[in-house]
Amino acid sequence: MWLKLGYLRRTFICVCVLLIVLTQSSCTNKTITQNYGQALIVDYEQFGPPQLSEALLGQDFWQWQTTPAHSPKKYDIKVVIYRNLALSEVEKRYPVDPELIQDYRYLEYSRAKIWIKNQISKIQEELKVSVPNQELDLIIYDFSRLENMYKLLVTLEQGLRN
Amino acid sequence: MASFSDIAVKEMIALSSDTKNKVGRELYRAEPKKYKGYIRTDCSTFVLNVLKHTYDTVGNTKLSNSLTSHVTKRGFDTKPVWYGDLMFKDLVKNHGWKAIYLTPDKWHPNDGKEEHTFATSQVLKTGFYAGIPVSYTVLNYNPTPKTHPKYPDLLPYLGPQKLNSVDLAALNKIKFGIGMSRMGEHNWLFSLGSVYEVHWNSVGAGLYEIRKLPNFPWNSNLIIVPPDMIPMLTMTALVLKKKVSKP
Repeated sequence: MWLKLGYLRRTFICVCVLLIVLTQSSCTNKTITQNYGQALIVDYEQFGPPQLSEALLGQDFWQWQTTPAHSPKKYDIKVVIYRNLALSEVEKRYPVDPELIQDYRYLEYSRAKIWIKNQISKIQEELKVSVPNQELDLIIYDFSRLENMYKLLVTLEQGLRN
Repeated sequence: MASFSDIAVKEMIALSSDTKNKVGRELYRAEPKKYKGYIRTDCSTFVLNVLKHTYDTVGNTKLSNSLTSHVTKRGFDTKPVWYGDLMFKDLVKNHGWKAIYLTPDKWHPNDGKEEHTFATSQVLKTGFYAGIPVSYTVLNYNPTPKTHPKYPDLLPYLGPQKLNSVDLAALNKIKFGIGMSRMGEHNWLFSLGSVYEVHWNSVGAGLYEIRKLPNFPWNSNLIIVPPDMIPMLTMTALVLKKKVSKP
């Protein structure tokens, strides 16, 4: 009984936290996305930590650089998510140009959607374990990751509507 | 008789005090004619030279010779490259070294990058950083103030973190350790609260840099310490939360 009450209480706290997270982050979201018909440009960081997104998007430093940076520098890399458009056309519209320091990564819509949904499932699985066991700040962090993935999915669906 | 750490520190100081005829590898690549005849170095070479010298001095040439063998090919590499992670893993798993995970601010890295908060959460949940088992943590040794421009970028609702001066003081007593950032992309040495590193795009006075850990700009790091330093490990031990069955 005590365990059950504890579990319910933690779940209640987490739901409250999620509500706070959703309210606050919607006010602080500064991401600007541009929609050019069949393509949507988002920031590399919107896909979460590079430890997870690197396999999908490539390295988190300039693609023309052969070795990682030797300083903790942040790179302004953009991801072009495209739908019903040939990759060659996307590359023409958004060319990679080291001189202009323009780094684009190209990602087909359905691939992006599958990846985001997979991430959502994985975080939900992690939360099932975290909620009854972990410290509250770790749970909040996982909720924030979940929220970011949902926001990216919404951006994707709104930006590339058929 | 000098201990392993005494030998390593002596070599570290000797190497970092001598910049004559040395150049950072990246700078040499950019201007090979200008630096012809210079000895090339970088962060990994510095760490490997100190370790190699130390293991050779204590008579473990087998281990000394194996240090450079830990190469791997990451997504962006055209050929296998030496990163710190595999050697760190070998030293911890097979040679009695212990790992300490450290971050200046658990939830508000001052570069606003999620790689650090994710790394921290993984260490606290799984006990591993870059596949290396972690035994101790030093969290919040230099918290980001609420007024910092990057503070609101990640998890602002978690509130400012309190300075953890106890664990930092314990870490400052460690005579020798080797460190890595970004899963081994940057490697460095640690002694009595200071980070010793090489900048591969520099030469002369800028080639080596020594700074106190709170001034070191990397936000998620690992230090491993040799067996002779284990009695000095008094910082917070990493205890994983056990999974409990649902009620």
